Amino acid sequence: MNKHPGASCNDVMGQLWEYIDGELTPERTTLIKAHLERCQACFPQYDFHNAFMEFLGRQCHQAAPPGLRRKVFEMLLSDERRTAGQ
Amino acid sequence: MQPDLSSVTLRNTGFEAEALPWLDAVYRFALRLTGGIEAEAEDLTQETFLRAFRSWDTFESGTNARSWLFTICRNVFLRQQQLKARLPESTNSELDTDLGAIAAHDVFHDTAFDPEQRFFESLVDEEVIRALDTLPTEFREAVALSDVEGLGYNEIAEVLGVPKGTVKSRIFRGRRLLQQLLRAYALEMGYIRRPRA
Repeated sequence: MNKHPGASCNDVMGQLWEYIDGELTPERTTLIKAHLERCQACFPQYDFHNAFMEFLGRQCHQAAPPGLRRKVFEMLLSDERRTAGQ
Repeated sequence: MQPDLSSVTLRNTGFEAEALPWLDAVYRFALRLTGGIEAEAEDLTQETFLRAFRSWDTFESGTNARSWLFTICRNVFLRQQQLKARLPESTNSELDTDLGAIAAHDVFHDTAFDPEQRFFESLVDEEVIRALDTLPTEFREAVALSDVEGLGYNEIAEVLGVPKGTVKSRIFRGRRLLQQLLRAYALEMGYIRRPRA
């Protein structure tokens, strides 16, 4: 059996973000996943960046101020009346 | 309190069901475009929905309303910036070349950072948001669309009007810059200690 099937460390590092983002083909994903499971050099990199992405995804999820929804509704309704009145 | 929605048009055309659920997302994107200025982001959001409402008949029902709204939002913002600055928009290629020098070329082979040290875990929302807002616009918008709103590379390419390769390069460099900024900040605040040489 090939000791290093498919992906080298360089390949994996080169596509790490795409792997984390789920943007690779199923074939590439499988190869990289297999590499990460056994490579002690690449796995900590993956683990770190993956954790960073999860962290980032949890941040910055501000909701619009409550008054804004009403303002948008009112603006659209008044725009509709304006157009209907033409 | 929810406003009384007495508009037949809003309901029957599908605008209410397809466009309005993205209000929070559009507002967040507007906030990132304006660099966190809430009043400007509110105006930009309103303007976006007004434009979207007026051109709703050009929208193909069932397609991606979110990307469509982000595209409008960004176009409105860029137009406003151009009017403010009275300057032509700088070209993308220029920016990418300049910004390439900022971010480390080899993204993952940076010996200065220790993957064991999760500097970001001690940070809170507003520190992350502030750092994101200090990124150059091209990186900020790409990272916000990808990592905050969860759009795929193709959708982002559509919104920004650039090739997918450019989207990837902006997202990756943007993330790297963000990590560098946050790490420097965490060190400065004493959240983490400088690794001994």
